[in-house]
This record gives sequence, structure tokens and C-alpha cells, in this order.
Amino acid sequence: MIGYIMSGSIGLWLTAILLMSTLPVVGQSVEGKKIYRKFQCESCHGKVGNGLVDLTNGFQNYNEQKLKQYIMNPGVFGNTRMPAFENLIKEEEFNELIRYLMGLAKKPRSKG
Amino acid sequence: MQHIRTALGFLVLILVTGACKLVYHTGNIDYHPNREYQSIAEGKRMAVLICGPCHFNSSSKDFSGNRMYDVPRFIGKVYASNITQEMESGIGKYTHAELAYLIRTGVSRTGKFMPFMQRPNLSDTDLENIIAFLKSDDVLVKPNQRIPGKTDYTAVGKMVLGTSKPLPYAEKGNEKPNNKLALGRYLIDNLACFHCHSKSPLSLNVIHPEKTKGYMGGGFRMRDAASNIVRTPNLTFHSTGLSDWTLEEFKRAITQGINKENKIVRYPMPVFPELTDEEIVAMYLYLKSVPPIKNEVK
Repeated sequence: MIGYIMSGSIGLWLTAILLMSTLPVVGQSVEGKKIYRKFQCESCHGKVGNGLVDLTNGFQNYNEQKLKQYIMNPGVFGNTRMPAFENLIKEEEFNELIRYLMGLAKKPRSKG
Repeated sequence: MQHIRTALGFLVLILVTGACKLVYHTGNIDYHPNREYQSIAEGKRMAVLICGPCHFNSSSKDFSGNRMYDVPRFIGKVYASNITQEMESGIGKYTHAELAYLIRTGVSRTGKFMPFMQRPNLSDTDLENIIAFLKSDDVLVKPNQRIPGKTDYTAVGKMVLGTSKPLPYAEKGNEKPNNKLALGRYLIDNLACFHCHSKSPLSLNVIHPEKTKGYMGGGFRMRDAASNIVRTPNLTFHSTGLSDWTLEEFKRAITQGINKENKIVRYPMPVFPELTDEEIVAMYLYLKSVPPIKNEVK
């Protein structure tokens, strides 16, 4: 009986997890994630921005416009390791990508 | 019967693992750098090219180490060490001689052997310059207490690493070549291009790189930071490799990280903006001279 209940609840949990993984996270751009993958950002930054070069700490002092300029030409900002995407990503793709990147930052934990 | 076979398998694995030596005596070496030739600026450039791809940390913007995502999982979880001047977590305690020994043989001052570190063919001038830089007060090597992580080899990883042995320390290194082809070969060797772009980095010939199996023919299976499989491209001038690449396309790929098809060159391939035009031409010409290998890498 316990086994039956457990298997039922595991089934429910699995369904819930599956559903959650296919739904867009609030504040993140699904299209942006596709662009993140298409341009191989995950190659260095990991699947969700927590790879070799961490993006989950947010972009202090960077608004959307400045972040876009950074991605277009990182060398101007002193980053000579990252490729310049100015001639690779289309304007509309940029907007979605920036939305996605802004959503990668870890959410501050609520107190209490 | 099956249990006996499994138990025997484990026993063999334990015995082989136990026999694999990963710690060596460093011994006392005689190291007298020629101070006249020391250039910290050139040492920094060479260190960024040679040490940077593994040891540069983009968050702290220094040489405080990194997780090596590209190392195959069966080898284990590997971290490139902190090589800043920090006394405990870095290499602050190293003498000049110990650094020379480490770079030439891959053996640390505590006797730990790291096969991919060894650069037996590095010229004396480059070695002296790199050590002068590592001992300098440059911001890249300023003491940083950060510990990148603890390397944890699997039993298979220990076994695989145990198959390579450190070479004896050579008191005298080679001269840095002036000839274009020789300079290209020198850079492909010391920038460790052949480590990844040959058949397997587990069977390298570090003294005579061109004797490595599948030399520069690519195809080795690595991983990027998202755990996606990355197969290293064929860099020989075969139609399945670089045969239709111009010098400009080659230069763009290795200095800016964008390839012929306008796609980014994926990690673990580093970009080398510090290479001079002369060095890039030398590498290109040398690769053109390497026997072409047919190996379609997808």
C-alpha cells in the first residue's frame, strides 16, 4: 500500500518536474535561451550561465544597452577572450538574448 | 562465475591503480637564469599564451585557477591551480629553480606530476621570462587566496595519468627558433595545440610532438562548460581539415575566436590575441607542412 502511494506521488512529482522544465521561467526569454544556445554562449557560460565564466551574479553597472554593446564588442571593455558578436547576431535576436541574460542572475533569497 | 570475474576485475584495477605513481621526487637542480635576457613583459605575453588558457580566471581576472571542464569525465574533476604569488593557495613559496623544474617536467615542488604541464622544449629565454613574470608584482599574479577547487581523479584517471612518466630535467633548453617553420612548430608544441588536436592527449610524445598518433588530425572528444561534446578539428591541410583556409581566416579563428563559417570557436579552444603576425604566419606555414590526415570531424 505504502509502495503504491509512494509510486503515485513520485509519478506526480515527475509529471510536475517535467511540466516545470518545459515552462518558461518567469522573467526569462524562451527565445533568448534558444539564441544563447544557437550562438554557443553555453560553451563557456554553461547551460544556465554558471559555467566557466559565471553570469549568475548579475551584471552590476550594466543596463541592457551597455550589456548589448559589451556582447557586440567585448574588446572595447577590456575582454579580449570573448568573440565580438556584432556581425553575428541580428538586432531582434540581441533583444531576446539580453532579456534572457538579465534573467539569469540569481534571485536574492527572501528573509524569514 | 560472473561474481568471480567482477571481483577479479576490481582486484586488477586496484593493483594497477596502486602501481600508478603520481608523486615524484623533485631533487635539487641547478638553475641560474641569465638575467640579461629576462623581460617581464615578454614573460607575461608568453605566460598568457601558455599558462593562461587553463590558469586565467575570468571572474578574478588573474591566474588564480579554474575548473577544467574539458577534461573527460572518466579522468575525474580537475582544476588548474592558483599560480598567483599567494603563499598557501598559490605558488608564492616556489623558488625560481622549482618553477623551472615544474615547467620543464610537470612535477610540482611537492612532487605531484601533471603531465599536461610539462614543456621540455621551451626555450631558455622563454622559460626565464615566464619565471621572471610569475615572480613579478603584475596584477595577474598578485597574491589571491582563492582556491579554485580540489582535483579529484577517478581510479581510471589515476591509471591513465600513471602511464605517463616525467622526463628528466634538462639543464639546458633549446634556443627559440627564428626560422618560420621551426617557430611554427615551436608554438604548436608549447601552446599545446597538439595536445588536443591529435588523436588522444593520453598518448602524447612531448619531446617529438610530430610523433604523436594522429598529429594535428583532430577528432579527440572533449567537453565544453555545458557538458556538450566537442570534437577537436583537424588542423592539417587536408580537404577534411584546413586545406581551404586562408591565412586571414586562420588568424581570425585563433585571435578572435570566429571561424571560416562565421561561427564562434567553442571552448575549450582558447583565443590567442597576444600572438604576433609573424607568429601566426609561422604557425600557418608550419601546419601547411604537416603531413595531411584524412579525418572528417563532425
